[in-house]
Amino acid sequence: MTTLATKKESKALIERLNVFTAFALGAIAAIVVWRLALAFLPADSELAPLFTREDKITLLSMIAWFIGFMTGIGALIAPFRWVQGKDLTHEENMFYAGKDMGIKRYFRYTTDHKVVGIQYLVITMVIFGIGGILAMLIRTNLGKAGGGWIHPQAYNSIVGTHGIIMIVGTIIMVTGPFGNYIMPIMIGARDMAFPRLNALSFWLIVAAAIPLIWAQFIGGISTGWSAYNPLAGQAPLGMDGYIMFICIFAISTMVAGANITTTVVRMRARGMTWNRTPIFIYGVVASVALALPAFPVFFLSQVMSGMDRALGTSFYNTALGGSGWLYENLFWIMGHPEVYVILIPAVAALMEMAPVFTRRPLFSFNVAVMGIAGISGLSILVWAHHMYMSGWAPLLSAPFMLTTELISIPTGMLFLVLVGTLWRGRLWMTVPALSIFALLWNFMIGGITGIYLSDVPADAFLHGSMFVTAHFHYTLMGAGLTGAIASLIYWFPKMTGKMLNKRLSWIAFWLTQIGFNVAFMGMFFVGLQGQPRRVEAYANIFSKGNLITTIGAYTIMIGMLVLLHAVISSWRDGVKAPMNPWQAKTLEWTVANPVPLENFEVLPTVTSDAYGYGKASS
Amino acid sequence: MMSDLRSPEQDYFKGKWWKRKDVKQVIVLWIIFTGLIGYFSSKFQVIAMGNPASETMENVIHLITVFTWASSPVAGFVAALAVEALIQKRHHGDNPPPEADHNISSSPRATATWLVISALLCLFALVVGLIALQKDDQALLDKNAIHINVTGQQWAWNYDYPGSTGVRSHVLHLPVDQPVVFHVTSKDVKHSFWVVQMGIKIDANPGYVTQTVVTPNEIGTFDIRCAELCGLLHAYMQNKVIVESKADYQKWLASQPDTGHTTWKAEGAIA
Amino acid sequence: MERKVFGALGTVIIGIAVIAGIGTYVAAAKNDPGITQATPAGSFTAEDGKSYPQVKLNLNVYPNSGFGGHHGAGGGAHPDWVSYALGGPNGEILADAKSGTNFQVPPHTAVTITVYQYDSGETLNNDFFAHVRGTVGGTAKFVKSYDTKAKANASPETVITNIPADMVGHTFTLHGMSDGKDQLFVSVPLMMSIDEEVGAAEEGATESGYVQNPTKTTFTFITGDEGEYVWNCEFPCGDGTIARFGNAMSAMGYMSGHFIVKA
Repeated sequence: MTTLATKKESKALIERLNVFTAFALGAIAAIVVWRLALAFLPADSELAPLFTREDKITLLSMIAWFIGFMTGIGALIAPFRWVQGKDLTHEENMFYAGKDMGIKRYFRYTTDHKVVGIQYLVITMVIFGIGGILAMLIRTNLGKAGGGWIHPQAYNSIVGTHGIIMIVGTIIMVTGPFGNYIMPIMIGARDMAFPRLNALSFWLIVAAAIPLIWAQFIGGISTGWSAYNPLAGQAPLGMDGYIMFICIFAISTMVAGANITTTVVRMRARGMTWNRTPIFIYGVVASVALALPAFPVFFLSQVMSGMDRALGTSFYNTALGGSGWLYENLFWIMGHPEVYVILIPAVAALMEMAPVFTRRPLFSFNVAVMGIAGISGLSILVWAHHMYMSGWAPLLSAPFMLTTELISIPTGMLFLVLVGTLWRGRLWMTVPALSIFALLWNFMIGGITGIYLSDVPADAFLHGSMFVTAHFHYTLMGAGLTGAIASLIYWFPKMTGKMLNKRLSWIAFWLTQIGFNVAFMGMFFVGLQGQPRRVEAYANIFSKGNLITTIGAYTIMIGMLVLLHAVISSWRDGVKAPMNPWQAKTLEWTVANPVPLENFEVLPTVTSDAYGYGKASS
Repeated sequence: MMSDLRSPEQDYFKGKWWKRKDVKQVIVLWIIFTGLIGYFSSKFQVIAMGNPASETMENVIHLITVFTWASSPVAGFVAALAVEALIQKRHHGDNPPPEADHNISSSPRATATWLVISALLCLFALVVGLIALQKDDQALLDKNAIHINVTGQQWAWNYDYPGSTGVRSHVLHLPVDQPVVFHVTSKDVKHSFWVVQMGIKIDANPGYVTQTVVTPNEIGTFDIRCAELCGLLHAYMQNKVIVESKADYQKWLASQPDTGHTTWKAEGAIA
Repeated sequence: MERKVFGALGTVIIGIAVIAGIGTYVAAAKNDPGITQATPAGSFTAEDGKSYPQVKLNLNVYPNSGFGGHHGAGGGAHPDWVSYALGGPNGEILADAKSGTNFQVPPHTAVTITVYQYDSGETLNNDFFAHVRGTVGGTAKFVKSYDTKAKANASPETVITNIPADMVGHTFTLHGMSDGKDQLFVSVPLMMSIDEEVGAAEEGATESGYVQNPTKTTFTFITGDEGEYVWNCEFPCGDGTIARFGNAMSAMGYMSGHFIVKA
C-alpha cells in the first residue's frame, strides 16, 4: 500500500473513499433530504401548481443522492485542495493512478486511463445485459397478438427503460472502453490530458444509474426514451428519475468529450501528424466533438421538463403559452447527432481493423476522414426529419429532406473505404474480419431504409411504425454493436492479456448476426403492414411477423449469453496473448501485456502511418 | 498519403482491365445481386404494404419501389465486392497471412466515380421526393374538399363533420373519390392520426390544429391507428374508416343523431 | 475446447432462467390480475326482433380505493386513487372481490351493465363523451339517486341519450383494436353523485364512508365476433396540467381494464 506523506486527515480520507463509501453517503444524503422535504415542503394547493409536491421531493432527494455519491467517491478532494490553493502531491497522484493497488483500484476514483477503460467495459456489459433482459421481456409479450402477458403500464415503462439504457450503452460502448484504454496508447501518450476528469466521467455514470433504477419503483418511464412533453408532464414520478439520469449522464459525456478532444489534439506522440493519426482516433474525436454541443441541449430540455413537472412552469404547455414542439426540437437537435455519436466510433474501429485483417493498406485514409467529417458536419443540420409529421413547420420539410439525403454521400464514402480495403486483400478469417462483412450488410439495409424515411411522402406512411424501429436497430445495433463486439475481440488481448476464446466467439457471432437479421426483417415487414411502434398489443394481421421477430430475438439472446461466457471465462483463464497477436502496426501493440502503469518506457516517435502493409510496386 | 498520378492502382486498370478474372467476377456478381436485391426487396415491400386505398398511398408504394430499384445497384456493387473478397483464398489460423502483393492506398478515380454516382442518386431521390411533396401540398388547397375535424384524446379518436347537422362519430365515414381535408388536434397529449392504407399521417398536438389531405379511391373498410405513444392504452387507440359511395355517405350522415358539433377549439389554440 | 462449450451452454441456461424469472415477476405484478366473467341472465330481444343470450355485469365507481376489492384490504398501493370495481346487484360493496376491472363476455351476446357511481364530477373536456354511444337504441336508463340502504330508486328512472357536460363523474368507454369486421365501441357517461348527497356522507353514509345515494346507469350493447378490447374512463382527473391523464388514469385496475369478448 503506498503511503502518502502528507497531512494526516486527507491522507486517511483519500485512502478510505471508494464505491462503498460513495453509495453509503449518497443513500444517507438522499434519505435525509427526503425526510426533510416530506416534512417541510408545503402541500399542493390551488395557488401553487397542482401535483408538484411529490416531484419536488423526488428531485430533491435525487440531487442529494448525486452530491452524496460524488462526495463519497472522492471527486471533490482535488477541487477542495485547489480551493485551498494547493494541488495533490506526486504520491497522492500515484495513489489516484492506482499504483500497486491490485483489484481495489477498480472500486475507487482511479485516474489511470486503463483502469477507467476496464471500468467502462464492465459497466457497458452490465448496461447491455439489463437492456437485453428488457428486450426479451418486450419480445416475449409481443409474441402473440393480444399481448397481455405484461400489463400496459409495466410494458410502456420497460420499452422506455430499454430505449434509454441501450442508447446510453451504445453511446459509451466503443468510446468508453476503447477510447479510454486504447486511445492514449495508440497516440503514444502516458495518460489522458485530464486524468481526474476521466475518473469523473466514469463515476458520474454510476451515480446516474441509481436514479434510473429508483425510477422503476416509482412508476417507471412511461413515455418511451424520447420522453415527449406533454406526455412526460403527466407521467409518474419515475420521469423525475429519467430527468436526473439524463442530466448526470450529459455531464459525464461532456466531461469525457473535453478530455478526449484535448488529449488527441495536444498529446499525440512526436511525429504523429494528423496524416499519421490512425482512423480510429478520428472516429472517437468526431463522436465526442458531436456530443459536446448536442448534450447540453438534451440537458436543458430535461431541466425544463423537470421544471414543468415540479414547479408548474409552462415551457412545453401550449395552454399556458409554451409549446410541445419546443421540446421536440430541443430533443432532436440532440437526438440526431447522437446517433452518429453512436455509429462513427464503431465504423472507425472497423476501418482500423480492416487493414490488419486484409494485410493491405486502408483504402484511402483521406476519403475515410472526409466521410467522418462530412457525416459529423451534416448531422447537425438534419434533426427535423424526425418531425416531418409533427405539423411543426411544413415549409421546412423540403430543406430538411435535402440535408438528410445529403448525408448519404459521406456515409457512402465510409462504405467505399471498407470495400476498397477488402478488395485485393489477404483475408484473415477472424471474427473482427467477418464483422466488416456483417457491418456492410447491416449498414446497407439500415442506410437505405433511412433514405425511405428521409422522403417526406414515404415518411407519412412509415413514421411512428415498427419500420422506424427496425431501421434504427439495423444502424445502431446491426452496424454499431457489430463494430463494438469486433473491437472487444480485437483489443481484448491488450486489455486483459488473454485471447478471447475463438470457437465461442464464432458461435456468438453467427447466432447474433443471424438472429438479428431474422428479428428485424420480421419487424420491417410488420412496419410496412402498418403496425405502430411502442404498442403492447397489436391486431392479428401482424402475428406472423412478430412471431418471427421474437424467435430472432431469442436467438440473439443465446448468442449474447455465449459471448458473455466467452468474455468471463477467457478473462479468467484464457490463452495468454502475445504482445501483438494480430501483427498490427498501431502503437498499442508495441507495449507489453499487461500494459505498464505509464504505458511507455520512452515515449515513441512516429515516422509513418499505421497502414504500411503490402509490397510497394517495383 | 496522397497517391501520385502514376499509382499502382492505375497500372492495375491499364489495358483491357474488364477482362481480368476478378473484375469479370465482380461484374457478374454485381448484376446477379442487383437483380436479387431489387426484386426480393420490392416484392417484400409491396406484399407487406397491401392494397392502397388512395392515390397518395399508391404514390408511396411507387416511391419506395423506385428507391429500392435505384439503390439496388449500389447495394449489389458493395455485395459483389464483398463476396469477391470472400471467394478469394481465405486464410485461417492464429497467425496472419502474408501481406498483400501491392500497397494501393487510394484511387482518385474510384473515389471520384463513387462520389459522382452517389451525388446523382441523392439528387434523384431529392427530386422525386420534392415532386411528390408538392402534389400533397397542392391538394390541401382543393376547393372541392370536404372538411372533417379529428380530435385525438387519450385513448380514442372522434370525428366531427362540419357540413352536417351536429354529426359526430367514433368510426370515420368518408365518401369515395372526394378529397377530404382533416383538421386534427388533441385534447391532451401528442397523438398521431394515421390512416394506414391511405398513406397519410399528421400529429395531433394539444393547442394546435394541423392539416392533412387525401382522396380515398377505394370503397371498403380501412384502419386508423395512433402512431405516437400517448400513454397507457396507446396500442388500443385504433379504429376504422369506412369509405362508401357518395350516396351512402349522405344517407349515413342524415341517419346520425344531432349531438351538436363539438365545442371544438384546440385547447389554448394560438390564433 | 469442449469444456468451454459446455460452460457456455451452462451460461445460456442460467441466463434464460434469470430472464424467465424476472419476466414472471414483472408479469405477475398487476393491479388487477383476475378476470370476472359476466353472469348469464336469460335472453334479450333487440329492436329488430332478434333474440340474443344476455349476460349482466354490475360495477361501482368509488372516489377512492378504500373499499378493498381487488386492491386488497388497505386499498392497495394507492388508497386515495379513484377506482372502478365489481359491485353487488344493488350497488353493494364487494370488499372481497378478487377482480374488478377485467371482464369477459361471450360473442354475439347482449351485455347489460349497471354502474353505481359514488364519486363527484366536473366538466368534460370533450362533450363527445357526454353522449350515449354504441348501446342498443343509443340510450341508457338513468336513476339520479339510488338508495343503497333501501335498495330502491330514490328518484324516477329516465331514458337518456346524453347528460349535461358539466355534471360528468366518469365515463365507461369501451373501444379496441381494428381487427375483424365487427368493432365494438360503447361510451356511456356516468353522472356525478349530486352534491348534497356527497356532503351528507357523514350523516347518512354507509359504514364504508361512501355516499348512500349514488347515481345508477344501466345500458345494454350487443357484442360481435371475438376480440380483445379495453375500456377506460374518458374524464381526465389525474396528474398533468392540460393532459390530466396521469396517476390513476394511467394505471390498469383503477379507471381502465380489459374487456375480452370470447366464447
